[in-house]
Amino acid sequence: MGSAARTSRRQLSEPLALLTFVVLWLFVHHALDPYRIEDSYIHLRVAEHLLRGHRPYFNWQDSLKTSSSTPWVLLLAALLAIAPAGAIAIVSGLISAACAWGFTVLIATAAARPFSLAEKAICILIGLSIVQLASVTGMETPLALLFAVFGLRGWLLGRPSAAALLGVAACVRIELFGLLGACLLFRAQRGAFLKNLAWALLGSAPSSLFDLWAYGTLLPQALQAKRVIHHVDPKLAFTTLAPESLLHHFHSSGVAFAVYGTAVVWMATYPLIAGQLSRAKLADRAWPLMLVSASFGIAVSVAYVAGGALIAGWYRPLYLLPLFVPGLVHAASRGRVRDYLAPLLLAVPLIVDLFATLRAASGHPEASAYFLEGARSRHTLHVARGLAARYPDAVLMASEIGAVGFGFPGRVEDGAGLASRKVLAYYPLSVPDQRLSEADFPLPTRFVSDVRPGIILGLDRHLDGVLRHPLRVDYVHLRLGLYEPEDDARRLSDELLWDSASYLDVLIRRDLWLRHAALPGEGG
Amino acid sequence: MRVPTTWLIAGYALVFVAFVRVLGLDFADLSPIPLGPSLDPRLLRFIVIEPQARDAKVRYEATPAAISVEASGLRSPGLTISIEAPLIEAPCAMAKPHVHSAAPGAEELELSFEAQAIEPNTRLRVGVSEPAPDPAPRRLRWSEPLEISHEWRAFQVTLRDMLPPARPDARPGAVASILLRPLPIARSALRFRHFRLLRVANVKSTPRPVE
Repeated sequence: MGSAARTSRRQLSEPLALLTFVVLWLFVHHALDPYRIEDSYIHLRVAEHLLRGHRPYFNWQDSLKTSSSTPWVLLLAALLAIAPAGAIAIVSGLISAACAWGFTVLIATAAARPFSLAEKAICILIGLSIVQLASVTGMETPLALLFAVFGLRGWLLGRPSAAALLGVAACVRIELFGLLGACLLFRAQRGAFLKNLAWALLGSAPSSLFDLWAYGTLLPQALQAKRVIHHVDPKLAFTTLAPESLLHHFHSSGVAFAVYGTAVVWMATYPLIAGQLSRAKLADRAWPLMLVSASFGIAVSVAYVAGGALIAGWYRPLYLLPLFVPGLVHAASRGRVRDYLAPLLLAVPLIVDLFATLRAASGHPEASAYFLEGARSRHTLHVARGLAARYPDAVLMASEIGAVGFGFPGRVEDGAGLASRKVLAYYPLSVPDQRLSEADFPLPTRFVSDVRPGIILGLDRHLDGVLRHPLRVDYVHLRLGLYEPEDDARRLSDELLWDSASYLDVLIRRDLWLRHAALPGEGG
Repeated sequence: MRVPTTWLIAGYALVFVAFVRVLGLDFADLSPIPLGPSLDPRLLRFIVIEPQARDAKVRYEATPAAISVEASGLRSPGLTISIEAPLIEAPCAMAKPHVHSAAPGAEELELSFEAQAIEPNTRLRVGVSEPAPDPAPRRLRWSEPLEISHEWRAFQVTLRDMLPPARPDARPGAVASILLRPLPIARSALRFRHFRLLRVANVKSTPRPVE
């Protein structure tokens, strides 16, 4: 009787704990919704255009794939159609919670045994710590990984339909085509390969056909633009592979990154090569998953560093989640909680970031790793809405188009090439004459001079050249703070966005300024 | 087939070496012994934030004419040198020895220094923070980025060169700290030969005993 009661209590307590966690997690997303980052607004603007019956373009006149994730845009458009914009944060929270749960189920499936409560908690904690920043900032990575973890689980169980899920995942984040390819090719037998390929095509077909219909290409414009505009030193790219807290606390210590990187590679590969390699092992259920995950995680990291990518926080789950799979599967197959020590230790920087996010949601947004980025997007959005109310027909030019684009419905000329091809002709810019570093993307003055937009908006560091250019006299210059007053009071005094940006500069062409100043009832 | 332990150790050592190469680290960076700059322990107002320097030296001297900082070998991504509450000090030979100290007047402040950069394309911003009542954050005023080259070069920055102008509620004539921040933040290395605060005027002397 006592045993039955304990079992019953346990059966009840687990779902209750899970429900409590999900509710808290949704609250965290709701609380941090005002601090979503720049890039998340790019998807939102495209989704809004779709909702209004336009084509899914950033500027509805220009056929460009500005959003890198069509399924995410379609989901956002569907949400905006039926619910207020705040619901997006809730859905993001649900997706990342489901992703962490799916990650746990994947590890348990590979270990082929039921998990204890402690093991579930460890896997959920690590999974959530990896995807949380991408989730609270409103990016698509958790959705991609949600499809990927369930796709991998299906692949592990030999279900052909798993390839369809991996196909959808690859459409959400293009990097995951590598994972799909690895799963298709691994131990491929002719018949099975063709069947899996057919499923993969089926999974990726809706998004791909939509892309071909709307843009005439499957590749996002960002792929071309970033190659032309950014040139990130491999050293910097390697450093930014690390979790935010490691970057924050050890940014001056290269050794910390070398040690952490080596430890992660060890965790991802040691379970594969330690002990005996045998045919039996190849036939084992867990081994192929560990091999594919480790190879994919390492390949993506190497590709980012070799390609000089500007690695943002929402890229990291794409390689960190696969790299943690071998370590966790290895620990799970042994079945003792102490075997989880290595993955848990390596997850400490990620868990520190998670706790910073939780603190941020409890009324201290400045604790978040992306506070400055989120706070300046929040302010930029308000400024853009104000400009839209006053100058609705003007052409606005900006070097960062996310929050500006969502707040200003009119035409937005993009100085960084994500929503404009023509600006690429004005790059590369020289260092240090035209920009602070090769990772920087100020507005090219010749581009500004040729377009002569009604409004120019950007960080002070991005408008430095424009403010020194002779065309500056044709504009009224407004220098605004970078943050809302309450956020400005929260930040540390010497904490600058990207260590150099202090102001939001707005330039309004004089004829436009005077025309609107002359309207009855309006000031200058 | 069993992979020998020595091979495993050698393999992971190679991975570590590869990462060290990508990061451009050398032996001194790997040393477990902290090799921070040698600071004058009596002058705790001079703070080097997160130094990662091998043979760095910082000497600080406050004289009636100027605050003098000589620094070399400072090398750190994200290095910021912060001189907190700069004071001009003058020893006074009275019966009880003491020093006269005074804050430099902000409006009269002129920062002059010479600098040489190790890395190409290095710029430096000079900042001055104004005091603010706690817990309000201090307001920073920054100079335009100054280009530092391989050659020694002299610079002069006055407060008038800095943006934004002082707030109306700022205490006139007060400087809470002086900051030197190289750009780009990720890979700058600076060598200062000399750093002086000149034209100190309109300040009140506050005698305080010498310990």
